[in-house]
Amino acid sequence: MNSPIIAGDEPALVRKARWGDHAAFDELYRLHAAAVYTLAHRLTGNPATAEDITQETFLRMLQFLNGFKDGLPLRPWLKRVAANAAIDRLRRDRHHLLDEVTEDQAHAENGTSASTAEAAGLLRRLPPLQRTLVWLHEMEGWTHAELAARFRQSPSWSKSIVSRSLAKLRDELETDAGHCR
Amino acid sequence: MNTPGQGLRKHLVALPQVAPPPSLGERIGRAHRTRLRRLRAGAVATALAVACVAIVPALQREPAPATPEVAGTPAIDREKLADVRALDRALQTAYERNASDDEIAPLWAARASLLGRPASPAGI
Repeated sequence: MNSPIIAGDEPALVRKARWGDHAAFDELYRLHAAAVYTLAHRLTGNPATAEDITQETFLRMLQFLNGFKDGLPLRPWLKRVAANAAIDRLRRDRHHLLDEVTEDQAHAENGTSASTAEAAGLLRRLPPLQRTLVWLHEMEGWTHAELAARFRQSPSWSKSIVSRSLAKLRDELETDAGHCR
Repeated sequence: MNTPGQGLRKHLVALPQVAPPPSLGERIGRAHRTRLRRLRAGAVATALAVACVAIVPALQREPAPATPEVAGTPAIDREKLADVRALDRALQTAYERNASDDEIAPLWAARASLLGRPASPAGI
């Protein structure tokens, strides 16, 4: 989604929203909520957790000392906060690091084409940890070094999981395509 | 020709955004307003406490003999300055131990009220 607002206006909106200006908050929410919620949903696969992460991210934006620097675009900062919140949950719920495909990702996106639904389905076949690493690396541009630091692991750990997960996704994509022929 | 990797990436890029539930924005706005109200109440309480600390000893003190003021610094300003310095030390300590916003904001508000300025924490 392209933002009609110029990046320079955002710090002013954030300042106003912090002091309780509803219109400023509504504008920031309108501009960025879908992107933040979508990322949280992709990483967690769970709509309720995605809501919590979105709330946590926006409330963090509204804190007085939150690490957001004026002059920088807000969207990447929000997405970084949301991704970190998702990773924290993943690390807190240690069982996610081991489990296989969970069933709580059955929430289907509405109005998707067959191929996008297929891709969303493919993504959901990965366990949460693999899905998070793949999405952050492939789609959000996180480096292996960043992922490794965030998970307190080595870069080779991240490389290995991403590479195996991508291979699995490609295989499944090809298998699905084969079935459709 | 698409490699399998490119095909997969194309699929992932094409995934649509997921719309958050309509009630979420209101829920976040409400949570922020509640926190803001708590912060303001805390700031008022802190300002009152600081004012008490500053005023009560002054009321109990014997009237001072008339002495010439230090040039340009009336006695009340010196007391205010001491309170501001005490708040600055409290802020410094709070930052050093990574205190939360909820703890820090009232200190800023109290400092601003002592100086007769609108509250505006550093960095914003």
